Amino acid sequence: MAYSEKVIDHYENPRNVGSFDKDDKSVATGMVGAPACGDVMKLQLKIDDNGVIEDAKFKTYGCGSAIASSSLVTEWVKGKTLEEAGKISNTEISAELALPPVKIHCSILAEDAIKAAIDDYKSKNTAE
Amino acid sequence: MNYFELFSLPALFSVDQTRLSVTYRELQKQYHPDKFAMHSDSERLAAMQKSTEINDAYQTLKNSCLRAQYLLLLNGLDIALEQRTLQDTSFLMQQMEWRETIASFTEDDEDEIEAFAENIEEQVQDLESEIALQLQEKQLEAAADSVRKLKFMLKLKIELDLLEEKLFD
Repeated sequence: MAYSEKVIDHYENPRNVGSFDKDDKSVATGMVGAPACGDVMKLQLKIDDNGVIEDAKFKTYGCGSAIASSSLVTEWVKGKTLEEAGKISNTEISAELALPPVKIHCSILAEDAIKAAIDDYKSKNTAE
Repeated sequence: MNYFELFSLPALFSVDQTRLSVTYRELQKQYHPDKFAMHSDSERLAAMQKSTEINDAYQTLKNSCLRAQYLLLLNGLDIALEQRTLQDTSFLMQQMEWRETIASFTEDDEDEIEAFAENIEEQVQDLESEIALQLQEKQLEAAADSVRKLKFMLKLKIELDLLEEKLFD
């Protein structure tokens, strides 16, 4: 199966690899995994006082498509509000990367990582 | 006839692997294409289909993860092709840590790698015992979750095997 040029580009030059302190209240952490292939993805968003995502980092153990999906998402979410970021769908991700049907679950993983991060941020910031 | 019936085994998660391979060889012999060379086309085709089914059954029953998935399927829960994600944070954090550990190993870490592999093997066995119990008590959703976790553990084992090949072969 051939990877698209965009997948290869993100795979070879992943954007925003790394971590933020997960205990920082302005950091949202989304951990998700795909049982189908055993891929694990961590997406972290740094959110400013206005609820805008100022920075994003990821760490993914998985195939090229999973790495590309998370790398792409870190670029896309920057500058968006949480609400806007929550609307990013797996179909947009898979279309942008030209993922074949067997790799759609990688884009689902990235979408769910954003949603999990948003949930984490909400639960962190409404607890008190 | 389901795969367990085909192999005359009880439909349980614990499978007698010796009996499984013995029955597999017997069945294979019984339906071997050579035995049907002089038969009609339709009989040859039927034997070939049976032989394929025997192979599929054997592959499924031999592998703990596929076997558990098959038992879930027999109970009406099909998780084989699902695309859902797992969101158990502490489990996934642990997975991530283990993947990081694997990525950090070098050829000087032979002992550490061995200890690590043993630990992973123990975790897999614990998870398999849990699955056996959950299936036995028909806690299907819980069993399905354990099978999903088992898939991550098996992926971890593959990563570890690849690393060992790269470092020591």
